[in-house]
Order: sequence, then C-alpha cells, then structure tokens
Amino acid sequence: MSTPEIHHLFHAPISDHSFSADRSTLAVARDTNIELYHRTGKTFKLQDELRGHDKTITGVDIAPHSGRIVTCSQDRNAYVWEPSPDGQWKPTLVLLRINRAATGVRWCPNETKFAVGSGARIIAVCYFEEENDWWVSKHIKKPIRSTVTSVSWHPNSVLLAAGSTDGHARVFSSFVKGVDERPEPSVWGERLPFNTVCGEYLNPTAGWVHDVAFSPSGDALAFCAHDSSVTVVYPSGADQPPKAVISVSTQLLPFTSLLWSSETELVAAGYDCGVYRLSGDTSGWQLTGSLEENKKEGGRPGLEQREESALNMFRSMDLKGRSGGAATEDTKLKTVHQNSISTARRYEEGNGKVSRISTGGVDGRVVVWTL
Amino acid sequence: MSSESRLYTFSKETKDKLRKFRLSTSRAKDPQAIIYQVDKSSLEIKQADDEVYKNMQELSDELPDNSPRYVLLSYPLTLASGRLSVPYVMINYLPPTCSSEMRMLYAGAKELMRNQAEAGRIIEIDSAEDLEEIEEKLKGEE
Repeated sequence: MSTPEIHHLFHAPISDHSFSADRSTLAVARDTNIELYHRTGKTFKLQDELRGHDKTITGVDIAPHSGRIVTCSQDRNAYVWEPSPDGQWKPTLVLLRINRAATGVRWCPNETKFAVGSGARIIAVCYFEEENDWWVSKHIKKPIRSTVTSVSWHPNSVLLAAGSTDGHARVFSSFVKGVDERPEPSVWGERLPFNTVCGEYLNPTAGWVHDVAFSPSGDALAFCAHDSSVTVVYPSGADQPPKAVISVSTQLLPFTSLLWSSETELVAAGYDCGVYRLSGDTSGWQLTGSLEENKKEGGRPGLEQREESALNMFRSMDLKGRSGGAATEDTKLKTVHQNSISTARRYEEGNGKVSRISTGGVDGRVVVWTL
Repeated sequence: MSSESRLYTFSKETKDKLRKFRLSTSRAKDPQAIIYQVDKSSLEIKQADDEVYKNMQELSDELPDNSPRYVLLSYPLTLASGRLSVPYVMINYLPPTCSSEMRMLYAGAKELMRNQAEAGRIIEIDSAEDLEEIEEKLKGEE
C-alpha cells in the first residue's frame, strides 16, 4: 500500500465530491456552491465556482462521457451544468417536484438519466425530453416510507438501488419508455415497468441504511447501515428468495459510504475516519483490514523516543494537566482524515478491479488511496 | 383578451374542421374526441393527428406524458332523469411534468380555443387516468 495522496482543500465539510473522467477536474460541494479544482502537477488549484443553489449542496456527480455535472441541494432543486466551449458552465434547473431536501444524486451509467434521493420519501428519476427541451422527473414513491439516503445504479442503467432511513435497501426498476432500451433479464427480474420493486432487504436491526452499491456485474447488492453492519445480498431470481443474505457486524463506527472494488471485495468508509476492506463471496464475508498504514510501526522506536516521551509526559502533565504522549497525538487523529468520511468513489480501475479510490470528508480533505 | 388572436393562429382548414365536428357530433351515438396541439414554433393550433377517438381508453393512451394538449370531446349521456344530452366540452390536459414554457403556451390559447370551437365549458385534467371518470364529471355538472 503506497502513501495516499492527500489534498486538504479547505476547512469546511465536503458533503460530496466527484472527479471528471480524466481525473483532472475535481468538483467539490462546499456549502451552497460547487468548487471546481483543476489538477496542476501534484496539487489541485481552484479553477471555477458554480453558484446557483440557495441551500447546502448534498450531492454532485460528473458524467464521465459528456462531462455534465448534476448537483442537488437542500433547496429541493437540482441543476444540470453543461460545459460550454469557452469554459463557462450553463446551469439548467430541473424541477424535481419534491417538497423536501434532496439528499444525493447519481448519473446512470449511460448518462441519459439521473436519480435524486430526497427527504420527501421519493426518488426522482430525471431524463431529458427532446421535444420539450426540458428535464422531466418521474417519481418512485411506493413503498418508500422515509428519507432516501443514497441511490446507486446497476450497470444496465435501468435498475436502481436505494437505501432509506426506514431500514430497507430496495432495488427498483426505473425503466422509462423512449429513453431506455428493454434491459436483458437478470437475477433481479424480467418484465420491469417503472417503479417495480425488484427486491426489498432489511438489515438485522432495521437501522438506517447509509449507502448501497451494486457489484460490478450487478448480480449482488451491498449496503451499510447505522448499526455498523454491512449486508451483502445475492438474489437468485425474480420472486424467489435470495441465494444468500450475509450480514457482517463490525465493532467500528458505522460506515457512510461503500463501493465494490471487485466481485469479492468491498471498500467502506465512515465515522471512524478510516477506510476499511471487506472480502467474501456467497458463503460469507469478513472485515479484512484497514487501508491506513500503521504509523506507529514506522520509524525507529529507539530508546530516545521513549525517553522523549517520558520527558514530554511529565512536561505535558505540568503544563496542560494531562499525562498524554506527544502533544500532537492528542489533537490529531491517527487516521489520514481528521473527521468522518462522507463519500468514497472509484478513482482508477483496471481489469475489472478498482485500483484506487478517492474519499472526501467532513474535514475538507479529498484523499486518493491505492488499494 | 383579443391579443391572443394575434399571437395564435388557426388555419382556415382547422376552423372548418372544428365547425364540422361540432355540428356532426350532436347526433352521434358514441363519444367522439379530437386532440389538438399548439405548434411551438409557428404558434398554430391544429389537430395532433387525423383520428377521431371513439374510445376513452384509446384517447388516454394517445395523450403524451409530458406535454399539454387540448381535447374536444362530445359525449352522449343519459341523465338520471332519462333525458338524452350530448355535452360538447373542451378538456385542458396539463400533466405536472410539463415544462413551464409549454404551460404558458397552452394557458394563453385556452380561451381562444374554446371560443373558436364553441365548446360548452373547459374541464381541467392533469393525468390521462382522469379521462375514465369523465362521464361522472359530465353527469354531475348537468
């Protein structure tokens, strides 16, 4: 594991971040604006700011092929930003017709639609209608009973997974006539009109589901919940009980974001401020370790250090009334991120495996990790 | 407001067809409907297609999901009192997903259309499913 690439952008929480296809542009949600950073050498420099939203932005996603950026915010709106040749971004308002905040947005793999989760117990699936030159939003309502926290697309761009605070992770069909081609039958079902529920899964304690993700092939679904567990579901067919539903409980703080790095490995990050790996398959899953290098093991543990620490210990006891170690160890976390991680996204893939991921956190850092 | 008549146009053909439709339907035995749309670029009001719909189901299938339309409907009814009546109404179909531009376009031409077609009154519906209850609505109002 080589050292992670740390970009400390500012001292404010980053609720969501997204890289462009060539990874040279980074879009970061900073309160009510999106800041676009451009890579110059090893660092990112602020290049542009997208203003338009009135309230905190909760989701941002850059479409890999077309370069369009979609943002959603607590002001119940979503904007699609189109890049124009002179470098300006033109925003188009999308009327989501929700009466609560939007919580997250993702483009579908073929970039014709995007899904917005909201606190209005609705997922708005939006597509562009040529004849009206307008983004239309269709609602997925039943049977969601509470805020939708996250959305994730299946590779066929029709199936949509959503995690909600009602404790369920569900898979819906968002097939839109005229925009989607009929998907091939999969383990999730065959005839799939809009708003069909292809699967509904509860985690053991019915805790809030923070994030959902489809495996790279689309044949499995993983979700992490607030009870610090990660559940992986392997469906066997429409209307049949799943092949396996495996739940892994961890002693760590809950995860807020997870993604599949390969068919048998998951990478999750959350309130522990660290990135963890889990691996397994239909027979079972387990936590395999953290991506952080253990800093304590590096360097020479020589005698001097121990002496220093003894000296420091008494000094700090005298000065600050605490018998801790070196002053920095008390104020800084041992992990790279100094506050919870809010999103983890794929950065680099090769041969069907993800080789690098990027994480953005509440501490204002975006870190690129090598798996 | 006659300002709309300067903005929206009807071709002579459309006007003649409207007249003919209104006169012919009062003697018909089954429902008759024609869908009208406003052409966005030329602002001309004309028939969406050349069909006269006799079946409410077919009509609701033809209506687009995200665009407003006008429907001129003549529906023979037998009222509770036994009387036979054939109300001729205009339906303003406005789905909630249509763009503001389209809404303004159709709202502006609404009254003009009604006057030109000489329809009895306007019924607002916002989804194609509402067409199935049209009979009750018409009966209730009589």
